[in-house]
Amino acid sequence: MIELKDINKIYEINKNHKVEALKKVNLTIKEGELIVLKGASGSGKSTILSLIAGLSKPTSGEVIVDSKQISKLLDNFSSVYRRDNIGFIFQKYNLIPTLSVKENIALPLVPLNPTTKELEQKLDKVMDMFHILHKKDMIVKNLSGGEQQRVAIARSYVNNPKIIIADEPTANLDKKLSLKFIEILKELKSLGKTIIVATHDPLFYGLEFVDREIEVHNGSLVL
Amino acid sequence: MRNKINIYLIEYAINSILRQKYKAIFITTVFTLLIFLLTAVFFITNSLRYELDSTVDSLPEITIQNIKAGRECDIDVDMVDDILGIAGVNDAVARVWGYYYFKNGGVNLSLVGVDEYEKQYKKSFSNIVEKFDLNSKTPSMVLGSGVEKIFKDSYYDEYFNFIKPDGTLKKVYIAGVFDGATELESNDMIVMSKELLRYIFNIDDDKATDIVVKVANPKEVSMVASKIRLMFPNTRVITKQDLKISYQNIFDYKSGVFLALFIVGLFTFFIIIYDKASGLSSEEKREIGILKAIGWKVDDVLKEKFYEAFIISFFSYIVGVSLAVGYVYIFQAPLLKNIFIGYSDLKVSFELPFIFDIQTLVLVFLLTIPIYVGATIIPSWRVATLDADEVIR
Amino acid sequence: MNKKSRYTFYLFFILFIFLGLELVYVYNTNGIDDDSLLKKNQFVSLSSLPDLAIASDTPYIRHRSLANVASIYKDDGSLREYSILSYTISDSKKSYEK
Repeated sequence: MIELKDINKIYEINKNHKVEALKKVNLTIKEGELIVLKGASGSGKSTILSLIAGLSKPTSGEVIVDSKQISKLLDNFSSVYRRDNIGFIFQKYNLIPTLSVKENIALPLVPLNPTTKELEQKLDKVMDMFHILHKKDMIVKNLSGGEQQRVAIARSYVNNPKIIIADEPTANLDKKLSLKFIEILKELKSLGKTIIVATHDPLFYGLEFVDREIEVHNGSLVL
Repeated sequence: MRNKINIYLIEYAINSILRQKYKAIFITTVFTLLIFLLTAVFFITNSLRYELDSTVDSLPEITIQNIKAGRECDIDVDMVDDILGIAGVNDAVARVWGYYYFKNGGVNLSLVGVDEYEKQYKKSFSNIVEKFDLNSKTPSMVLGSGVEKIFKDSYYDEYFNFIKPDGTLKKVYIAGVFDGATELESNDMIVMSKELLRYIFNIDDDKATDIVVKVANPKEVSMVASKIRLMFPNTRVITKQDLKISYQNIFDYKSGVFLALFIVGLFTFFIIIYDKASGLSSEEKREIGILKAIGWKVDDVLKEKFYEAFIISFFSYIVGVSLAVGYVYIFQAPLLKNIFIGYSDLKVSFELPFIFDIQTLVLVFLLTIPIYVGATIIPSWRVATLDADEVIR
Repeated sequence: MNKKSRYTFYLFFILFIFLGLELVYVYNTNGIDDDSLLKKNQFVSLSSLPDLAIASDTPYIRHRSLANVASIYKDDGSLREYSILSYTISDSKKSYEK
């Protein structure tokens, strides 16, 4: 379960310019839920995602995941928390363009130093699941947008995380590929994952397998 | 999970280096050049120092030179008897030696006169001379290999004509050549009898170039030297310890000259370091942010950066040292050697002996690699400790 | 291990072998053994001239101990103030203290 309690997040651009990204946000997400955060650019959706993922810390308030205070974790513990619990699909995918598909997907596993056999098994399973096994040795920058997205999803899934977070996942895709992504989301939900998607793509609105749609406006949740 | 070295981190590091190929090549080249220069200088100094240090103990404990009006001049042979009377003195010998400028060869030769009947020389003479012909025509001399070569180039194969101060010639036959093992010591040397040398240089029988003294107990050397100074206030008394210090000074001075040149190279290197240390490119920062976002700890990031820096610097180290070994010991350090031995044309050439000194290799390693590794890790650490979110955006 | 890593390790391995061979070669061709050392010492005992046949500059020729006193001031930075009758800076103090 994910809880955000009285979250405030202020970004200090410089001494005289501060941006209040989130104001007194309270949010609870149950295990296995698929939540869509909708709102315009700059509304604070991405900030909520990064707080849940432990990528940044709130200015005040608490982020609690499975009874653990994520917002107070030290840097290294925060990384371990992300490694073990979070699969993050970034807006721009954030793949390493000169590495191969296989090497990119393996990145979250590298610090764990698995045996070669373990590594191969996990990679093959995940690549097969997202239909990119046939392109495993291809350099990522030579892939199409849809293929790159599947690599990004595979990378987020390789550690079998409980929570999957997607930030504007269809921003760079056409309608066909966006719908394919939605299918993947449905499959992930059926596996019992907790999924949070931040998007202003209307394709996500009104989907039957989405548990809740929450509007974010000017750093606050519209209830 | 395994607790051994994480091979995947090393693989990632190698990929990372290859991703920035041209930058890596540039840094490696500069670094290799620096290590090469530094190591080559250390090798040259080590070789020369080793020769000096290992032979200095065979030198006489005290050398006495006569000073007149602030300049060195011939010394009276009579003084030997007075010196022999000092307690602790084992032996005192009047030496006759000097320099002879061989115009055709364009070199200064060192001529040393020895009395073949002096006890300490006879036995060792035969061991150190190659092709020594005891029955050669007289008068005869023994040459260093460099001198033999110079003479041969001027067609003096069997004898040489010395030109005396009055312009007359003195023919001296070549009886032998000193063993190659003594090249660094004997290269410009000609050894002949004292009598003959006196004749060639026109030095009277009651005069000598200087006097060398052997003292049985090394602890008494400075005391004997003081006594000699008191007895003969117009002399300069040089002990073996003084020679050791002067060797040290000479190399320190020459090393200082080199250091000035090296600093220019080091400056270039530090510019690179500064560029690295002052901050990573936005691409590099983003990459660290991504790695942290997908679950890498700060430690993992730093370990990877360490491997990256270590691979480049260690590669440069091995290549630099290999090049230095070849440059100094196989090609005899052209250009660089002259900094230590001078640019004079009046010197015969010689070969640097190989000394394997692990301390030098460790010193070069410590002077170079940790700096570069530190300069790579520090900015990475700064970025890695920021919030990943800040870095990615 | 991927291809690039393997090649990198091979490269380092080859470099090490090359350096090792180079060291063995120069040791055999330029190295000093005990016999050579003995001969060097015997020669130095014979000639009793300090320094090597290389000396830094023409004025000193073989060694500055054998050079004209005045010429020493020319360019060796370590030989500044000392008494004519002494030799090194440290020694000039010593001889007067005794």
